[in-house]
Amino acid sequence: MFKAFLIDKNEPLQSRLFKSSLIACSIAATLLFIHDLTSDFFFVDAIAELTGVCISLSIFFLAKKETRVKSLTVVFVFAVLVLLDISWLGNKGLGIGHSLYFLALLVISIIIVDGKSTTIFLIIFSINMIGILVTEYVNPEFYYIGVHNRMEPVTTKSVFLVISYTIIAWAVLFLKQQYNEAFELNRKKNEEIDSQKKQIELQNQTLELKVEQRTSHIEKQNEQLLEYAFLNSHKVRAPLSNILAILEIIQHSQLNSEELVNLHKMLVVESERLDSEIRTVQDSIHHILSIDSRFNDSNNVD
Amino acid sequence: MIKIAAIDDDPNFLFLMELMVKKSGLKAEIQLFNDPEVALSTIEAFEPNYVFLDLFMPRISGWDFLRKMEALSIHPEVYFLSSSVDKNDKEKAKQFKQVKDFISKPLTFSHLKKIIIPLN
Repeated sequence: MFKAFLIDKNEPLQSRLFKSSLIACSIAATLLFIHDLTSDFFFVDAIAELTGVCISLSIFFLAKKETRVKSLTVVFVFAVLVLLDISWLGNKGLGIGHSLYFLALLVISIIIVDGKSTTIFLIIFSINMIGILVTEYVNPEFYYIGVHNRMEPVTTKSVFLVISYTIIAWAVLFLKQQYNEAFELNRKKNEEIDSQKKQIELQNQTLELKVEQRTSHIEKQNEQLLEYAFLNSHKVRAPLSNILAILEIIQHSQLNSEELVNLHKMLVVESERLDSEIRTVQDSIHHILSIDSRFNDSNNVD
Repeated sequence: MIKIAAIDDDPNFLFLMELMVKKSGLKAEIQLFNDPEVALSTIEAFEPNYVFLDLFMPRISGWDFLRKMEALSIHPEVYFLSSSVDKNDKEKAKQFKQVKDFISKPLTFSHLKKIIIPLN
């Protein structure tokens, strides 16, 4: 069930990260607690530090605008758990070094949420350092970890922790800037693609319009050609059928010379008529074709 | 005597039609009409047995002529004679009872003799 809860792919990545970092917080706090009770067991300490780094990274990834609340929640929960640890052990001697987790995480989150707050970071860092040094000066024994056998000056540890978390914070900030740049680049590219897509759609529409125009033009031309074909076949066939009728009469009947002369005259007239009709057909076709070439020229210009 | 009326806007066709009827040896009287309007006003008096009708004519088409002739008291056999034959026109012609055939020009002697049956 626990596995399914973390790996469930239907849930958004940020939500899964948030839940696992909350679990990591409790693990880290427990480890710190054990560490404090068992007088510096190095292995436990190392795992606790590693868990802390993991939580820091989660906070970094959650520090985006939409999930800022989740990021701060993780910071808050971790801080409360660490402080609980401190206050519990406070009866036997205070493990104040762990409070630096809280401070360092606060610094990280502030840097992340407001990327350029170097001033705030420096103020908190200074207060932390001054606080430790002043208290050590006032009551040095207070800073020796009570339940531990090993006596370690807290100042050295504090300085080490603060420096290491500062490095982590700046590394996180650097990563975040890189991430933002990549994100911005991606966004710009997407915008470019969108605008190109719109342009292509527009071109397609224009193209469709052109195709429609040409189709309607060709349809019109077809109609015209059909009309011409019909009219002209009729007109051409009229003199031709007369010529055929003349030949039919000459072939199948006895004719006197006057009739022959008349038919001969008519044959000449009808032949000339046939010729003129054919010329008219040629002119018409030529006319339609010249309209067509003008149409194509005007389209090529734009 | 068999009476034939030919209505066409082409005078040369009418001349050839008349010559053909004359040379065919049929005992027939033919009357030529170059103008369908004139034909409509005088055809009833002529009482033809056969009418040869052109389809494409100015002002009055062959169809119009046929419809107007239906109102008259004569009932000749009608033959359409046209330079070009459209299948649609052929179908349309079948709707008229009086139309016997739709002939593509030119008319031949043998065709003419098949159409005209001499009166006994």
